[in-house]
Parts: sequence; C-alpha cells; structure tokens
Amino acid sequence: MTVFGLAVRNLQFHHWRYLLALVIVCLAVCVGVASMAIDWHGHAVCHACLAAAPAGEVMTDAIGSHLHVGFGHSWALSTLIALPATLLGAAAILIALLLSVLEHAEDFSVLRALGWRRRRIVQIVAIEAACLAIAGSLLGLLLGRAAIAMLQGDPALGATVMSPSASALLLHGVIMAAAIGLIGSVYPALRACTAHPAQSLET
Amino acid sequence: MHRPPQALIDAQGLDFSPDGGRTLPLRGCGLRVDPGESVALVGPSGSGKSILLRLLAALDPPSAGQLRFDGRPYPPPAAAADFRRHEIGLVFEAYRLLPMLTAAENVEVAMLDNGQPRHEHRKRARLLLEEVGLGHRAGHLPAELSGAERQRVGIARALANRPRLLLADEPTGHLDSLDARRIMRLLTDVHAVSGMTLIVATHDAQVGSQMQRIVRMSDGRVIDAGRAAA
Repeated sequence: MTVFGLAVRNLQFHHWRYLLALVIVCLAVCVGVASMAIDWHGHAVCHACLAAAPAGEVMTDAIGSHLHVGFGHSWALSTLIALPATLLGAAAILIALLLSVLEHAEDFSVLRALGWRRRRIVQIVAIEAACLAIAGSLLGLLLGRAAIAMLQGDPALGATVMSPSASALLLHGVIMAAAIGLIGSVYPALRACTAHPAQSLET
Repeated sequence: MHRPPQALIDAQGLDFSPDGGRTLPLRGCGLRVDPGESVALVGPSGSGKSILLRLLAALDPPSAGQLRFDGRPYPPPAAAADFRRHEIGLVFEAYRLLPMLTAAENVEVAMLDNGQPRHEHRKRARLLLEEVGLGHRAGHLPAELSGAERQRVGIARALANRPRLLLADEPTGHLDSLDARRIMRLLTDVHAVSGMTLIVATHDAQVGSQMQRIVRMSDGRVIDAGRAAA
C-alpha cells in the first residue's frame, strides 16, 4: 500500500462527495475557459457606439481606438469571470477534502501512531486534491472547448466569440487547476497533519 | 557475578499532564520490563494505565521523569514516528482499522517507509493474516469482518514491522467473553513464538492473569509491580 494507493482508495470510498466536487471544478474551468473566447471589446463597442451615435460612422472611427486598449479590457473581463469560477472550484475541493479529513481524523491519528510521518499525511490530501483538480480541469477544458465551438456556430452570438489557440486554452486550464488545487488543499492538509497520534488510543 | 539483563523498558518517576498541569493522570510512575516479558497493567478506569501506554508507545513525551528503551532515552517527538514504526506494535481497543482498505491493505499500511519493497509488504501481510487465522479474509473490508476478526487484523498490523515491544490497550474491551479468550490466546501465542515483549493494559483481571506478571495501578501510580512468573 502506497500513499497514492491510500489517497485513491479514499477518493473511491467517498466517491459521491468527490464526484460532486469534480463536477463543480469541471464547470468552473469550463466557464473560465469559455470567458477567454468572448470578444468583450467588440461586443461592448457595438452597444456603446450604437447608443452614442449613428452606427456606421462610429463603428469605423471608434473601433480603432477601442482596439488599442481592448486587449487589456478583454483579459480583465475574462479574469473577472475566471477568478470567481476558480474560487468556486477551490471551495468545492476544500469542502470535499475537509469533510473527508474531519471524518477520518481518527484514521490519520492511527497512521501517525503506526509511525507515519506528518508529510505522508499531507501527501494523501495533496494527492486527492491534485486528482480532483487535474481531472476536473481536463474535463472542464474539453467542455469549455465544446462550448466555444457551439457558441461560434450560433448565428446570433458567433461574431462575439473568438477562437483562442489550443496553447492559450491549455495554459488557462493549467493555471486554474493549479490555483483550484492549491487553494482547496492547504487548509485540509494542515488539519489532517495536526492529528495527534495519542487520539488513536481514545475510545 | 550475576548481572540482571538490560531492561527493555525502564521508566522512573514519570509524570504526565496532558493539559499543562491542571490534571496529573500519571504521578511519579515507575516501571521496569525485561525483554521477552509479558506484563499486564491492571487497574480501574482512570488509574493511568492507558496514559502510561501512551508514553511507552512514544505517542506523548512525559512531562517529567526518565523513560528509556533498551538502555537509550526515548526519542524526542520529532523522531518518535520512526521509533514507533521500528520498535512498537500497537493493538487498539476499538481495532482502528482504516475502513476504505481491505484486511491485507490494513496490515500493509503499517509497513510504509520500513525500507522493504512493496512486494515484500504484500507477502508479509498475507503471511501475518494466515498466522492470525484470517488468510481467507484478506480481501475483505473491515465492515465485512466481525469484531474478533477485526482485532485479529489489528494484531497482524501490530506485528507487521517485527516490533520489539507489543502494546495492547484493552484488546478485548469490545469483544464477548468467548472472542476475548480467543484474542488473548492469540496474543499469548504470538508472544511465546516471537519472544517479543508484550504489555497489555486491561481492567479485566481474567485477561491480566494470562500474562507472566501483573502490574497494578491506581491514581496514576504503580502500586504493585508484581513478580515475574518462574
């Protein structure tokens, strides 16, 4: 039995709880990735300009100036959506892991009593978090890519959806997965490794 | 000139306070246990036998006093995990098996970081389960085992790293009298075959009588260190 094996067994043991967390992470990454593809700048200009002046004139004059600052705007707006999505995914992992850690506090104290070092306990929680974050993010990337393709095919929305490169999507997914996994696992891991071995003798 | 053998456990003047001195469940407790001995710590609830077991298992350091293992001082808390893994086998009253692991995996889990390859862990876990009469239940989860079977797995797990000291805290506390007798027979057999030192904490005089020496405790002190059987 390895640390990895024990973490996987724990994931299987609480599979409904972890499946729910996985779905939330997947949806969070999907939203975060899809937000990258939306042409916030073009969309905003159309409405702002249409409201301000006759469309044709403003569109040709204004687009250039908007494009000048548009890239920063797009990233800011994407981040504005991706950040709460990341926090939601991290919260899902944190709650799932924390419930598991609290439920298995006695088991961690037994492992410590059997001679496991603290870092081994931390590794169990970290592996569980990594499995959830990586699997959820991969599924979220695929779902996000599918959502982008679907939006691009829509005649009404297609013009406002860009085609981000595969590497940009992957980078976005990796950053989200790392953030979700890290934020979601630090506190449960700390809680788990504070399990006192003497607790194992208490009835 | 005859020299007494080096004690495996030599405890002198042990105090232990888990809450910074407000309560003192162990007060000036002393105990000497020779290698290969089987000893029962007997006393009523609250007499300090489980607390003494905690210190002997290096789960907590004493607040005061001297505690030596085979002539050397017990390790500091930072090194206690390695010490426990190599030297101590623990049997718990409530079995304390991990519910998500099979019987064999529960035994294997104690062998992590013991320096042996994984296939050796698997082989030893199977062998130990055979020895405690549970070879046919190796693939079962704890929830599928009876109380006595779980305790047998617990004993196999305690023996996994060939410890020199086997500590059992009320090992029959959750069992009926028939299963309790069987578990005690298993522990005494293991002790006889392996030659390891066995200390059992119990409030049951019947259980205690199966050990070579009975140490009586009361109010956090050893009141009768008993006499070793001839």
